Amino acid sequence: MKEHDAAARRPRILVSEDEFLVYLVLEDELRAEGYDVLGPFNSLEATREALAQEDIDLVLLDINMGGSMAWPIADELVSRNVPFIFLSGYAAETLPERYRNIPRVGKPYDPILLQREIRRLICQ
Amino acid sequence: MNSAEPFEAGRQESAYDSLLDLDQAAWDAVPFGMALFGADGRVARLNQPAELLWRWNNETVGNEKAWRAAAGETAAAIEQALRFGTPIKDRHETITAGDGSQTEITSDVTVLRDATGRIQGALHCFREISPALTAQEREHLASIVEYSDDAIISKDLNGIILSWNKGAERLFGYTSEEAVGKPITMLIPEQRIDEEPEILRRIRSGERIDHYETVRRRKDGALVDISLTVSPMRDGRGKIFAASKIARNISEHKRAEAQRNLLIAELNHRVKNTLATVVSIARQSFTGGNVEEARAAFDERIRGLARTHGRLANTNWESVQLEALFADEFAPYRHHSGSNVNLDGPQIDLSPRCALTLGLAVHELVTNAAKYGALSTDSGTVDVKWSLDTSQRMLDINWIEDGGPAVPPPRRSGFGRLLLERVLVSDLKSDVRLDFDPRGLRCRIRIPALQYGVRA
Repeated sequence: MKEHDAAARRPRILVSEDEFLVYLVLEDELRAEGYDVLGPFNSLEATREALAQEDIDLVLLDINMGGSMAWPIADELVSRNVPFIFLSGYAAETLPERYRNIPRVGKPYDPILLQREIRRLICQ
Repeated sequence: MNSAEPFEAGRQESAYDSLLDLDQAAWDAVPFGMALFGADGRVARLNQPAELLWRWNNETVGNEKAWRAAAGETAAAIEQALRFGTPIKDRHETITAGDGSQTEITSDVTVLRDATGRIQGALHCFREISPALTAQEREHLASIVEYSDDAIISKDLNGIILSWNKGAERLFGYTSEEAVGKPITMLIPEQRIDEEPEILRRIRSGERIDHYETVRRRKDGALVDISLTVSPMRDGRGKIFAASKIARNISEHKRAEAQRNLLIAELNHRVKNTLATVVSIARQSFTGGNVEEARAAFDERIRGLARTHGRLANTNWESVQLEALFADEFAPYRHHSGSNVNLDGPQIDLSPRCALTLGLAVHELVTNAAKYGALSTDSGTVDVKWSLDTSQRMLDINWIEDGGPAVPPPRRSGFGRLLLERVLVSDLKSDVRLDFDPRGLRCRIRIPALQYGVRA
């Protein structure tokens, strides 16, 4: 995690995931690492609303939410320069070309890999 | 050697002399009929293919009269060639062989001159043309073409449609009257218009195009995926004059392929999601408490999940009936008479997502009743009533336990409560009320029906 003085707040991670049970595991993992976790946001609308209102350091974005693909949110995050990681059961090849260099963590999540990606993006 | 021609050292032998000098084996190795004529019009030499065609041999060729009668036009042509030096190219003729049978041939006559330009003889080369089809054979072939399911089209070397079968009519929507005489490019979408010159170029050079997958436009404007085979068509002399095209509709095949790829991607997504859910169920199941009990509970939860998957698989992943979801879970605890469990409600189909999530919650309700509630005693009953409120578009499920032991104090940390009070609320936007009535547990679950694909 980034070096920060006592006054600095903990990094805030927004989790967009449409299955509460899956979210719970992420929440556990992230809290244990000292992050503030906001979620679960289980639709594109809910995620967009939260992004508009909250100050977020990183987003974990489930690619398929209730049958809708999360591309509009991904584009918004790219344009707003908010780092994010795709959470997905889809194979990397099925991702649109423009997202090929966005980090992706497959389901079921490998917590070590996930933490490493989060640290890398937050420190950038 | 021609005796009239003085031999001079170093002088090149004439073509006629060379041909006469060649071994018979070399003559016979030529794959078409060859007959060499002297300046006097007599046959000087034949090769084997020629003998076979004429059904004559080198001994009988001397019979000039018979030969003239048989050769007809050819004899006249050779006479012309010898007298005026006019060669013949690619002429279509009929010859009558020694046994009276007639053969169609194409013939070439080359005039042979000596070094001074004097006509020394002529070489007649000829090849049998495959016999013409009988009217019946023609009809037979035509009907195969006509009734083929594939589109069979012929076009000339400028791409003008010459023929158009019923299959083409079905595939492209134009009738034969509408299509014949029109350019084939009327079938080609603009972005593929470059394909046609390339196809024609390859056909002209004698190439065949095999199972080329492309797209064509129907009369109604719709695009259709086809597999195209184009072959050159040759006339009697082997000259390419047109192309035959066989087009097969592969739209269905393409659709099936795309569908399959989509299904595999979707299956992958679902399996991995399910595994992520299983990881979570494991975590929730093994937090503290008795490990043996936790393991049994975990096993049961996974089996419950598998049952819902089984129900979904039976309907091609379309839906599960709400009653079946309850019936499956109650099955181990129902009395023989079935009177301790009452399920009452209209037929409701649950979407896959709704069935999987609700299935987990129902499993917790039933196992809780079996362990601590109404199903833990012989006298207890569970009533489940559901209805679909069409005005509010809510699926309303009421769970009422009666006659069991006094309800124990709620276990805040239980997985059942997590599922009911948090998972259902979050994943299915449900309204869940748990009431720990001393007579037995009451639970009311209201699910927005439209949003989650619940239907009567």
